[in-house]
Amino acid sequence: MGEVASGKRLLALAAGFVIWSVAFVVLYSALSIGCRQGWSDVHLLAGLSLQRVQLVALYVLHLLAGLGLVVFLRRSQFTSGAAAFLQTVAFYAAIAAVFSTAFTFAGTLMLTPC
Amino acid sequence: MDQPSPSSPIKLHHDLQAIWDTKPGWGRLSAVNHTVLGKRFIIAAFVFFAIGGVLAMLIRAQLATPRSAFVGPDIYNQLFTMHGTVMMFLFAIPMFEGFAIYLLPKMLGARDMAFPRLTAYGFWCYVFGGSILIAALLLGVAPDSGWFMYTPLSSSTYSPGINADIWLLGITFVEISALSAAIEITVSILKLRAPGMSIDRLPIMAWYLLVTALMMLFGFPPLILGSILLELERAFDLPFFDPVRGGDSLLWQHLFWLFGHPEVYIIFLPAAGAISMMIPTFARHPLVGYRAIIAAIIAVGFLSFGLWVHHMFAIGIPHLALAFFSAASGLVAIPTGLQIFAWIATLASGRPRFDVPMLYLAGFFVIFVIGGLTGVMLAMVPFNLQAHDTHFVVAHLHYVLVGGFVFPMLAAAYYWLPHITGRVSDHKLSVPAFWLIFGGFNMTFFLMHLTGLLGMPRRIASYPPEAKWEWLNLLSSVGSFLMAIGFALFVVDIILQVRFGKAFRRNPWGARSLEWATPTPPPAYAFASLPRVQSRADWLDPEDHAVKLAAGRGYLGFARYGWMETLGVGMIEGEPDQVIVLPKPTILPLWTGLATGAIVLCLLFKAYWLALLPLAITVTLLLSWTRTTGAQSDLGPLPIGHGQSAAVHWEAERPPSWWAMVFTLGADATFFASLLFGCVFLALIAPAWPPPVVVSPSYGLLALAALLMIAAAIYGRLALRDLARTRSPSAWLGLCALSHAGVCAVVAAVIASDIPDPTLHAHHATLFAILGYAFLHSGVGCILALYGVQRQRHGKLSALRSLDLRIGSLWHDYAAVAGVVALLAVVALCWSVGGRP
Repeated sequence: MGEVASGKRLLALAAGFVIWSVAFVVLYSALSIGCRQGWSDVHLLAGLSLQRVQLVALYVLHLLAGLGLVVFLRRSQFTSGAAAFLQTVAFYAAIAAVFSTAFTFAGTLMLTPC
Repeated sequence: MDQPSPSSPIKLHHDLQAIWDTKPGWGRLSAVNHTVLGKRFIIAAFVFFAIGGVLAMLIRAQLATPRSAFVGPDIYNQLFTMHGTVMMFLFAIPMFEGFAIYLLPKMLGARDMAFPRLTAYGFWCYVFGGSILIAALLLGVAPDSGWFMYTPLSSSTYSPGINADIWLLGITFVEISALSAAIEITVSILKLRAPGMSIDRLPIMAWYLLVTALMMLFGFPPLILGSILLELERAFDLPFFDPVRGGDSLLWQHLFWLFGHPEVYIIFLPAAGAISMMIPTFARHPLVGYRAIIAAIIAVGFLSFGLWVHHMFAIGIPHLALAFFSAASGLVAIPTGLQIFAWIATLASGRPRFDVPMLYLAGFFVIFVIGGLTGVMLAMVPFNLQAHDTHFVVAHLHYVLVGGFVFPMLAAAYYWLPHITGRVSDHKLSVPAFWLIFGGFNMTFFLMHLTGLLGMPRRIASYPPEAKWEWLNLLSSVGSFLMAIGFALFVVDIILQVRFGKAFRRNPWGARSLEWATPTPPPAYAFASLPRVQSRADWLDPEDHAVKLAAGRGYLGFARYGWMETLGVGMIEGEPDQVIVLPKPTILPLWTGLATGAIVLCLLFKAYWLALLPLAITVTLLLSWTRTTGAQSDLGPLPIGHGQSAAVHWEAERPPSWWAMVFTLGADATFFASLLFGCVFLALIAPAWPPPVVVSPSYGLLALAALLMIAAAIYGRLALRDLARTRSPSAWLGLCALSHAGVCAVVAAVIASDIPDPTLHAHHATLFAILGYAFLHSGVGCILALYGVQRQRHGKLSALRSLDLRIGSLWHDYAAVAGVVALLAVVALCWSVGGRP
């Protein structure tokens, strides 16, 4: 296996939590910008504000991305050796990351944004 | 090429010793060996720990009684600032570095770290930087704004003296050591291992250190950026943190805690790695949950970067954002708890044997769990607002840091000291020392929870008797002196062991990891030959390996050309793919450290133009390190033993130095991202915006700079292409250097014409900083391109020996991408405040 391919396989260990990190940066930025721009006062349908809609959409998007990674890692076919080991650890980490994403940003569903 | 003929074990030992040993006398200053430097780091860190401990005693003497006249508030401010600074930057991080540098190669089955001269340079930077801080303390001009140096208290308006500059410059100097260690640890774990040690066979300690080192690479740049920006404000009045001119003191808090909270885990994780090595030895059972623990370490590594605002809950940010940080702060307890349960499960599954290291680990369990629980309490916003800035927080952080680092390190000292000294202790003093430290610690800090809940704030030099805190404080102070007596007993015990301990043959604890397969104390080359690992490297048979390796029956069981050799392996499979030739002892790292120290001193005493001289000397010295590297002819594959061969590292596809550049650029990109974050933060959040005068940059010049940056990267690649076709790359490299020089000239022109006064407003200061970043990267790119020309002239380059140009090309590519992003950021920031042409 080439060194660059090895590097990519090692990066899979971090993939789940990279999604969590991106979610953190995106949601925190979107929240700050939305509060600054007054999106909480822009009401869309059913009493939902623009701020709430965009935050929930971003939250769900990152959850789906994390779940997609979990499914992908589950389906990867390595039976033994270092590759299987990396896949297992990456799978565990991805599950932990999905749980972390769901828990950390659950406040977007019900808390006052600004 | 034929393999050197095998020799007798004794001759092999003498041959390797002649090659690897550090010379006595003044030759000691040229040491680059990991065993020597690891011990020096540990000893220096312990000296700083003792200094920090004395400062703590002075703090407790002051707080023992109300209205104390022991020291005045000015001195007291220096005492608590220096106590925190010394313990965090001069003790904890360097102690872990020394521990890693000493043990890691031996645990991995290598003969040294990947970059021995960098280890030495890091050590000198650490010692010189620490000495500047301690000298300032003795002269009464130590930093006095708290170890986290909050602005505006640390800005020149409220701290006009040299005190804060000493912190900003001294700590940045020490950080060079931390970053160099982080790169070295990362590359060493990924590349310098025994053959057969695939990624799934790494000792668990290596996983802990790998994650820790990566956290340092991404955690330290925000602090370095913050320190540079604050020093620029103090020295040149660039208003990054001045709210009157569009700055914001909260930017400092964000940058500091972006580093500061991961720092807690950077300190804890290596200690947890040591625990994970010791517990299986004493439980006589392999570590339970190896894979789950690795996933937990990764989780801790990431989650720790999402907690920083829990130090800032009281500053007034949106509630939803508080909820993000509060949730992440609570969440990190889960992977940490998983590790604790794995250690308990290991003990429960085995046949535990109780000995002195286990006593100290029991102390760790009790104290760290209490600290973790109060951490979860503080993660909850309502409680945090009540306890904010009180002694409850002081109690919590000491339970976490002393429990999570000092107790495991004391256990580790007793566990690995026989390896370092070749002697075992009779442990007569270690048990009373433990009880004094454990009892004294709890007496000191448990009571601080109560004074904190009674409302006692942090960092006050005195308190009135009517506050009703005096008995608790007096008992705390008594406890702290008991603890100090315990540490003194520990030191005496260590000295007695080193001096009078009984010699033993090997592996007194029955450990199952490779470091115990070296002779004890270990020779400079660690292993006479390198092992082949066929099972997990923290559960193998060191005795069996030791005999074979000492007889030269492993890999590289010979001395060749007087080279210091070790093996590089594929990162995942662990099969050998290169022979790494390490540099010989040299005094260059010391001279380079001294020159770097001279830069710091020039800046400290505001001799800014004079600083250019030691800067030039430092760059020249760093370049001169490469004079002895590489070869003037192609060598092809070299025999490594067992019928196998591998390329020498400068002819290999991906040698350690290539990976080091990749990780360096990763840290650099984090620095740049932090800078962009700061610029956006100020434009979006800070008061006094928009600026009174908006910059309308010269778009033509910016476009020209972008084109030159891209051209430099292309020329760098064309040079590589020509080298691969056995043509001279010098012409392309010359064009590359010219393009970089052109970028510097154009960017300087933009700064001079468009930002004549960067002190006017944070808008101007941030544009100045971004353009300065681009300027600096092209400046370095120019030096690297000219260095390539020089290497070609000296015959060090060929199609096979293209490493120097490949490393340079990585830099040119990064400089182009980051430079273009920087120029786009300048345009966007100007547009955001109406600065159009």
